Amino acid sequence: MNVLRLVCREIWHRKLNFLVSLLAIIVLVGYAVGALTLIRAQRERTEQRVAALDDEIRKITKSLGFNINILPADQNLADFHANDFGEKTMPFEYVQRLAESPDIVTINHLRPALIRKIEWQEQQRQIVLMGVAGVIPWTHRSNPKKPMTEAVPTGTLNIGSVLAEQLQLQEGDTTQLNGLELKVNKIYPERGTKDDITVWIDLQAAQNMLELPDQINLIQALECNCASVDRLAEIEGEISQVLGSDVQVIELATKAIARARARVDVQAEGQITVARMQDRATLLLVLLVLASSILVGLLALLNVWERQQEIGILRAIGTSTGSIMWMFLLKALFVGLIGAIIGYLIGFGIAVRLDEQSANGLIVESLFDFRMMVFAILLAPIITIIASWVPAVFASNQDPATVLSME
Amino acid sequence: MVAEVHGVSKTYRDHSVAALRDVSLQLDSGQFVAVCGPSGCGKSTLLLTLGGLLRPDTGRVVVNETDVYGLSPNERAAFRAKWIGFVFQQFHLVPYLNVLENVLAAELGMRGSPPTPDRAATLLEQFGLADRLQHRPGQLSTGERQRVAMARALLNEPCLLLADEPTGNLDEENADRVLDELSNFADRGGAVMLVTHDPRAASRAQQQINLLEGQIASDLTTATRLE
Repeated sequence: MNVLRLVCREIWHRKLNFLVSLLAIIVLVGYAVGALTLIRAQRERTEQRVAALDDEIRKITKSLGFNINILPADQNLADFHANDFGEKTMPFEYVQRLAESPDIVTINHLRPALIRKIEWQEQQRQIVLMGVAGVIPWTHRSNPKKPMTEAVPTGTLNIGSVLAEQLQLQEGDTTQLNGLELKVNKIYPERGTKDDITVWIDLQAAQNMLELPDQINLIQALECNCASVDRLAEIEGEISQVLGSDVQVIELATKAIARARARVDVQAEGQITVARMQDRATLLLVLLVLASSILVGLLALLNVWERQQEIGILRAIGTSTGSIMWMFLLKALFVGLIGAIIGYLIGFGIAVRLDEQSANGLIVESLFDFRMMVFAILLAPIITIIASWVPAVFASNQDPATVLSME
Repeated sequence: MVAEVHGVSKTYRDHSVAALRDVSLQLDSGQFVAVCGPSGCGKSTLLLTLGGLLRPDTGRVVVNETDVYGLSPNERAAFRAKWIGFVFQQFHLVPYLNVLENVLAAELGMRGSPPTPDRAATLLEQFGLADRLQHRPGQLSTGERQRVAMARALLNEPCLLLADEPTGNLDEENADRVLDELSNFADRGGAVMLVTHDPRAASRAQQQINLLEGQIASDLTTATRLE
């Protein structure tokens, strides 16, 4: 005979006492697991929506190309928007300073350019000339991304489709541009923008042709998706740390901004919903912990009262106070453990079922949380043991002489 | 000497009358003593005190050369498990354990190697309960229940058996059977103290001590009590 067998026999004998205690723990654990699983589902859904929007932003931004323009501070924006380029220039070293700064994290793919509308003397027509130097590599980053644009090789030009067609130029042809002999490297397909009448050449060649050595009038960049809703201010803040107030920043691509705002809204809405659910769940959970603890404690006390004679004789025949206490705590452990397992299964099952009925039900695997299961299975026995502690101490301290004298 | 009581007095806090007043007695190996007296004279108090369950206000209780109340509560429990057997009028069997398990419940307090289930089964066979091992106490007659309680008391082979009105609820035949077992235990070298109202039961003892108002009023055999 040992305490474990005694406890099992007693549980079987007084099933109602055990079952009511068990029910209290099943309700407690079931509610806790159900509520936490639904909160987890809500959080997961929010993350999925944010990730979907992130992906959308990334795709939009990618399709738009460069969407951040860094201009000299004194450039009139009205003129810039009217012509798609500005007259004012800034030193080329600005782009190098940005590329070398570890503080710049919200933009990618820095591309300096010098743009002017010029007369193509040999062809007797106005064109947009764009001197580009390809993407400047970052000093403090691993530069894993493929450059968005390639540099125009020295001695060559790239040309927009409309202009190429009008001038009957083909890739591989050689032509003269204001006295400079250049080979047609690439003809861009029609875009329906000023690009169609633009000629791209190497930046240095453009600077020489325009007699603006080491000068550029535009730095193009691509913002990353890590910025917040106030992304432009963030980017400006970073750039001003490096270049002070010598430049100004403008952002293109309103579609991407709209998606970014939607992402932030979804995230905020999700956080509010989760917080609201947490508040309600916490309040009810606290009440349930209190109610179930009191119920388990009272049932344990009733059990002690019912078993006074038994405790008295066990004490008389030599059972130690520790063993008497262990009898009650072991029973509490069983209530907690079995209640936690059943409660977990029921709570999780109900939560999965409820989540399935919602618009974007999640799969069971993504709702299952191993840590929550372990936590529930460990915490419930601790609660029942604490609740049964006083009755167990009361039982072990019972005076057998008093009980046996009651005959 | 199996047990000695030296000048034991006991007054319950909620009673003004002393339950025991300067009681002294000795129990030798093989001795069967009956303690008689009217209700409230202190019989059960004497039994509980001798059994290490009720600390006296004054005096000493020595069992098997150990000062029982010099032990800590848990040491005293283990001491009881090993050396003292109890039989009560109400049997005090555990209702949800079967007969065999009720007897084996006595090993819960044993330190070291407990008795084997075989010994419990053998004891129950001796008491004529071989076919009742798996029965619950509720399925037994009162005589059978008392025999189960006797087997439980004897499982750990104690040196002292304390019986409080063990025949109080039994018919004559079953009472005789219990009294026979008490005598047999004494014959095997154990000491028995039987608390009883029943003159017929008392007559089976070698020595009869009458208690009156917590004091030994008479000793009807060759007295072994200490003055």
